[in-house]
Amino acid sequence: MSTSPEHVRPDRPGPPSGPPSGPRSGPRGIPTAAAAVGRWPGAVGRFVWDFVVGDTPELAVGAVLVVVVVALLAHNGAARPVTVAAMPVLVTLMLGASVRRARRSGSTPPVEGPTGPDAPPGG
Amino acid sequence: MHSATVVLVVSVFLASSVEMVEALTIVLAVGVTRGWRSALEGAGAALVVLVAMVGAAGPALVLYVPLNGLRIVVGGLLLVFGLQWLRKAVLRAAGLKAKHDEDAIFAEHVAELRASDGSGPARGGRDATAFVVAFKGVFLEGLEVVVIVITLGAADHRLGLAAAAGGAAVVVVGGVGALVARQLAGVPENAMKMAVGLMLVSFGSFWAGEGVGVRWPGSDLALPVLVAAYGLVAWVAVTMLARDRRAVVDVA
Repeated sequence: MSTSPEHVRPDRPGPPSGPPSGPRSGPRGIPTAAAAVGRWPGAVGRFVWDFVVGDTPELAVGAVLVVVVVALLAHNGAARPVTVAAMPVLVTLMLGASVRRARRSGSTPPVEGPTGPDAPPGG
Repeated sequence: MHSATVVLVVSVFLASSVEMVEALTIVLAVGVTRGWRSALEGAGAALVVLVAMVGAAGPALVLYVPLNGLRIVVGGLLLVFGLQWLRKAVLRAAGLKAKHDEDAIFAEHVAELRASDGSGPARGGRDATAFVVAFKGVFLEGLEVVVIVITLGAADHRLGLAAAAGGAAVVVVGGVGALVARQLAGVPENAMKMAVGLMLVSFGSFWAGEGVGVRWPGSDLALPVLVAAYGLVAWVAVTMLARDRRAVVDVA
């Protein structure tokens, strides 16, 4: 897991880099602690979004769609072989589409390191 | 042993090993530059928090969430995570993405830490920077392992086994790292990530399918078949991408 230009994850450890940017108090003079508490849900939301979705939104959306399509097939009387085959076939198509997207977006292997383009969960 | 159990143990062990190699690189960089005491304290504190998260969330999921709903959510999450691992491993294997270089990452961390603050440990031997960097490194690298342990363990009602497999990887990687006293640059990380990606996608397909009403032929025996099928897909993808890349390089 790491930070990258294409996908900034709040997960690549590094030395503390001084005080946080941004105002030290919220609008209308809200004290610093209150402003920090107010920002906390947003920060957690961004972290979860980066952690689960990251730079591959097509995979997150695709996984939901695959599950929905297979559920519809299973609950609308599709033959068992169809429901069994649907999941791996759709997942394969999704992986292929995502790899093609990555291939189109850049063909040169980037340098990888704490500040290089990497990113995954499991990066 | 049950095929699903084998796949579960191997998945968690490999995922945990990969993440712990990355965490070890960070802890070693911190230890070498800022001192070992705070680095090890930070790493230890992060491990305690990660274990507490498994202990708190895992049993609650197993006890209170209906199994089918749990399997749909878990299956979906595993599909997303697994596809991300697999996509990255395929791109790296095909040469379209740089491989993880633990030596380079170690060197960059050391340079960053040396440049960040020359104050070193405070009185009493504690260094806040070292503690925070080591804690953050181990916690963030371990967070996904926690998710994998909880999701795989809860969906299969084998939380203890999944946690034990993850813990074993931490002990093995930590032990080897301590013995060789350096980051494990020789570990075939991309191959391990490919294997984990295949298993997570297979588990994700299996659980999500079961959750929405798919009756897999052979029940748990479908898991190794899914692993093999996705493995074949990944191999074809790597072969095609590498061939296309060579063709582009030849033309250039």
